[in-house]
Amino acid sequence: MPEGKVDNQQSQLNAILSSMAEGLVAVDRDLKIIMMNQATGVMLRVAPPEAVGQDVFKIFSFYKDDQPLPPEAVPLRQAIEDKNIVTISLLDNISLKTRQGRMFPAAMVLAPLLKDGEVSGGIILLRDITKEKEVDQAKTEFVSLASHQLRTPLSAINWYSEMLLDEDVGGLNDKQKEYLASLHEANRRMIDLVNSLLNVSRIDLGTFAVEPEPTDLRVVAESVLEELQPKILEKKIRIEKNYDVSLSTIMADPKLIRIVFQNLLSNAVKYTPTDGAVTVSITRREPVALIAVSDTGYGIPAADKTKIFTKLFRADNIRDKEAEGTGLGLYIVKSIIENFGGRIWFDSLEGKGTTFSVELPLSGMIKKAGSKGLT
Amino acid sequence: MATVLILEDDMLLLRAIEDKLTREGFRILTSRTFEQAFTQLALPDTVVDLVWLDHYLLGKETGLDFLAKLRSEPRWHETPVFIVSNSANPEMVRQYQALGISRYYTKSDFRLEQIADDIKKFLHA
Repeated sequence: MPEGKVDNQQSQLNAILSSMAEGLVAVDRDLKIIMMNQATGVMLRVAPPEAVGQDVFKIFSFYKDDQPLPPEAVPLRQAIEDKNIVTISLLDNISLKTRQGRMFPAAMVLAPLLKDGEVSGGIILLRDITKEKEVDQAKTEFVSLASHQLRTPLSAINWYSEMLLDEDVGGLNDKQKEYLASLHEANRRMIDLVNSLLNVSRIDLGTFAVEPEPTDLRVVAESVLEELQPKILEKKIRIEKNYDVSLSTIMADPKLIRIVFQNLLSNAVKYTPTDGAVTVSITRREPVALIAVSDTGYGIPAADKTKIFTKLFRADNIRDKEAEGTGLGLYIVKSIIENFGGRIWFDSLEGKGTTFSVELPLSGMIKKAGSKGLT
Repeated sequence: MATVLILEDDMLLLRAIEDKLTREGFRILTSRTFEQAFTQLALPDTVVDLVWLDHYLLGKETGLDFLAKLRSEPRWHETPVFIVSNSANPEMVRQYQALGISRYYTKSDFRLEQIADDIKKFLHA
């Protein structure tokens, strides 16, 4: 190719790179910057020529949930080595910090840089998503406000239908009682949904409080089982318990622990057919308390396994079996547990059953002042 | 016969509570605002054995303002107060507790009958 043509192509490419609104950075296999466009320089307040040759993590300070993220936790090397494309979105809560100390939320794509089919480094494509974050925040605040406002009329339906059902103002015939009970039950479900939506908005806004106190996991599990007793009896479900006596109390917020047990146990009962079994075990496995809830239920289809903890998701196989369910419970549970520094996972075989396992650090939860508790 | 003063801004809820507690054998005073409540409490022959208090009231004052003023008056200093509100958050509950309350309920999560029973037990204890 004639030299003039190469120069021409080069300058055209440079013009494209410096005109892009998105940030684009290329690194070599040692993660040293080999190219950085203008937009990245503007976002990070670094002159591109100054950045070239430097370690990418000297120029990029990553934060997750406002906490510094160590370089090894950023999946850039992984993207390069596994020849994988990794997307970091709004939901990952990643921010970058400029040298002047300003933080901004960022969305990114991390990809391997391939030359003749060989990996020669990596590419970072990034965007400042301050605006998207604001819109997301406004959405969450709206959900919070709307849910809150809904509670007053729902309380009115709840109390008036309760008084009618109790025949406070006169007798009802069987059909009237049946209809009214359905109305009362549907309203109860709406209250549960509103409570879950409020919890989700508090999690998403980061405004939920954690108030640790000595909590006995077994006592919480027992009280939740007691609450589920009518359903357990109705479906003739056998409950097996396996409690470790050596585990005493841990410092945890009993309300949050209750939400965890409520969701795991009610799911197990709900998604297990009549005459099935649910096993709950709580054991000490230094340095954690291990909670496991197993059922002999419908199981989670393999195709749905990655989505089970996402908001509003319900697996295909249970949607036609069980009308009840918001798809919010496990999202809330996972958020609580991760906030605790714990871990949740599951093993499942469709048609055989599911085991959800939770590890909670014995060292306990950390107090977090927040404006709102979860309900 | 024990008297309960109910402070609740929502008419529908107020009527439900009033009906239930009347049927359970209580004498009832009702109020939707801070001023209405204190107008009644200022009368020399007003007797109140327990206050059922919502957080949001009509007007600018909240249940917290009501409770602070109630506790500052020697006559009502010791009167038991049950908070029944849909605005449950730990910070707010702490503020109520600091001023002195006997119970806190999230409205939408409790049966009226349950709260009425708790009031009976509390006053008979």
